[in-house]
This record gives sequence, structure tokens and C-alpha cells, in this order.
Amino acid sequence: MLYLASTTGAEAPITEHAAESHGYLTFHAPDAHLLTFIFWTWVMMAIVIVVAVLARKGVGIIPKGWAGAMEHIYDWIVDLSLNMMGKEGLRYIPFAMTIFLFVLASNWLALLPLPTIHFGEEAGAYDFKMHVSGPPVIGGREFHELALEAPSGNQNTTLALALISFVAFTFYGLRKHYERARYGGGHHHHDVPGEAPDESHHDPEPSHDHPVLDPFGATMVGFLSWLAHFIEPTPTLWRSLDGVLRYALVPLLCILFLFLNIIEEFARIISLTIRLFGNIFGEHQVKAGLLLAMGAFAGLAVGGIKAAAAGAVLGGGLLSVLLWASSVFVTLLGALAGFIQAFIFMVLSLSYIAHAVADEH
Amino acid sequence: MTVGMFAALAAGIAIGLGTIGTGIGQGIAISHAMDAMGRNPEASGTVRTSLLIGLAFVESLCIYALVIAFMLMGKVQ
Repeated sequence: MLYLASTTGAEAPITEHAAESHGYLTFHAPDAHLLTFIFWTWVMMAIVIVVAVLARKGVGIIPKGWAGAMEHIYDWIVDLSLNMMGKEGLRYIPFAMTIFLFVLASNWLALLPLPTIHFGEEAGAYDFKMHVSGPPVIGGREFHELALEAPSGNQNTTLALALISFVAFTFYGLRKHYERARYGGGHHHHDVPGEAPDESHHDPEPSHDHPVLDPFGATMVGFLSWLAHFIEPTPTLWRSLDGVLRYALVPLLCILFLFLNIIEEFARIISLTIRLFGNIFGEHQVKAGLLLAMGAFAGLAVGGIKAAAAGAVLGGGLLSVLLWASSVFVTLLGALAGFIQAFIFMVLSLSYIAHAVADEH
Repeated sequence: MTVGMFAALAAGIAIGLGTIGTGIGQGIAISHAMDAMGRNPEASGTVRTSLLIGLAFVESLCIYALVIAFMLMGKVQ
């Protein structure tokens, strides 16, 4: 399943052959597998949209049904972003909540497995497979079984999410620099953290009546000041040093900071990708391993019934029940981990945005 | 000794050492966060949020080790 692993070594010709023979854009994965992920991503998005539409019906002074749950999440994210950025944070709540709901739903999708364990030689054979009655047709292609898998258990999904987050915080940073250049200052969001949002909720950026610069000039100045954040600690260092050190050391460090900041941008994408993917994928592997072992011991017990061997029946049955119980425990743990990972993904995206739009002093 | 045998060994060592480091690190972080929450219960919300963010950063190191281990497992014949 981890096709990164099969790009080199003995399996490489097989994988390439598989990718070639199916003729899809595959990223080193057999198309059936990737299409399964895409299929479940669409199912998951449909679920999220249906829940959101249902939640709209209960909106009111006393929220009903799904609206209560949604408002709870909303309030919680509002508190979080107020703590992080003050009133400025209210602008980024739609993005944060979208990310959170998407990741949460995709982490929790595979928690309701109807698992039948599929034994096979191909990569990804030890995933949960759900047998559907009658082969479904996706993209003009018959599927004889559909693995019910979390979309976030695939590196392609998490990479896409991380790239969305990257684009978002870059765009918000650029927009903030533009606004600061056009309207000047932008220092009006030093609110007390945790302060309740007031009536200016819908327009957290007041006083846009007197622009300082015209749009073109503001774009230029904003873009330059955005570029300047790539050499970030340099101005502070310049101010705090003097004499020989200032002229000898600061230019060198400036180049170093430039490279570090550029590397940091990529490191953010990679760490967002790998963290979510590794967590969900690892948890699924543990669960799949437990269920595989359960199947093996259950097979031993069934074989014991046929051979009338009491020891095999007892030992195999007991062990398979134990393994099943621990797989239930791992599933519950997975629910908790899925929630925490969705939270972490959202909080990290928010904190990158907070860093991008922060005032430099 | 083939490449596959070394890969199996390396996968075990990678995830083992990775979890030792992150386990110690997360333990220290949680212990200090508990101290902070005990001393100043009003701040527990903020402390919990920062704790979770910090734990995520520490944990991602372990996840890197896990991914490396899985990649090595792909080389085991």
C-alpha cells in the first residue's frame, strides 16, 4: 500500500507494469486502489455536505439537531483563533472549519468497517475490504470489491490538503501585506485574547475609508514587504548589533536566514503531509494486523473442531476473541487519534496563517 | 545477509529508536504541562492547546520513523 516503498527495488518493474497497463495517471499506484480512495473521498464529501445542509435547518436561538453540534465546533474554533490572532482570526474561521470537518470526516470514515480480510499477493492486500453486492462501476470499470478506506490514509490526499493549507497561508499573508500597505498600520487587532466577538463580527477590518496608497503601489509595497519576511530575523539583528559585527556578520546571516525560511516553507508542507498520513495509515496497519492474526487463530480453532482437538479450539478461540477485543480497543483509540489529528491539522494551518499575517515590529 | 534482512533489521531499529526519543520528549512535555495546569488552573485551556500543538510537533518525528520503517518493510523479501 505504501507505494513510496516500491519505487525502487525488486517490485519496481511490477508496479511500473501495473501502472502502465491500466493507463491512468497513477503516481506509482495501481489505478483501482487510487480510484477507491477517490470514490470514498467523494462519498465522504457527500456526507459532510448532507450534514451541513441538515445543520442549517436547526439554526436558531436554541439550535436543534445537527446545528447544535456544528455550533459547538464553530464556537470552539472561534475561541481558538481569537486566542491565536485576536479579532483578525475571525477572517480565517471558514477555512479552518472546512479543513477540520474534511479531515475529521476522512479520518472517521474508515472507523465503521465492514471488514472482510482480503488475502492476496498484491501490494495493499492487507487492507479492509468491503464486499459489495454486484460490482459497482466507476469510470467505466468494474470493481469486484471496494476497500472502505480513510481518504487521509493515502499520501495523495494529505499532500493535497497540505498544499491547500500552503496556498491559503501564502495568499492570506500576501493579502494582509497588501491591506497594510494600502490602508496603513493595521495595528487595530491588538485585542484582549479571548474577548467575545462583538457586532463588528462580519467586518473585522474597519476604517477602510482612507487608503494611504493606490492599489498598484499597495500591491508593489505589499509584495515587497511580504518578500522581506523571508529574511525575517535580520532587521532585529541589525538593530541589536553594532560596529564590526553588524557589517561583518549580518549579511552572512541574512543569506542563511533566507535559505532557512525557504526550507521551512517546504518542511511545513512535508510535515503536514506525513503527520496525518502516517498517523492514519499506521493505525490502520495495526488494526489490519490484529484482525489478520485474529483470522489466523480463528482458522486454527475451526480446524480444531474438524480434527476434534480441544486444545486448538480453546486456545485458538480464546486468542482470536482477545485479538478481536484489542482491535475494538484500537478502533476506539483510532477515533480519538483521528479527532486529535484533525484538530492538529487545523491548529497548525491556523498558526501558519497567524505567522503569515502577524505584525512585525 | 541480504539487503532484505538488513532492511528488516533497520525497520525495527528505526521505529524503536524513534519511539524512545519521542516518548521521552512527550513525557517531559506532558509532565510540565500538568505542573502548569496544577499551579494555574485558569490557564489550563491555553496550556492544553499549546501542549497539543507541541505534542504534534514531537510526534511527527516518530511518524517520520514509522514511515521510514514502512518503506524499509517494502524492501524485505
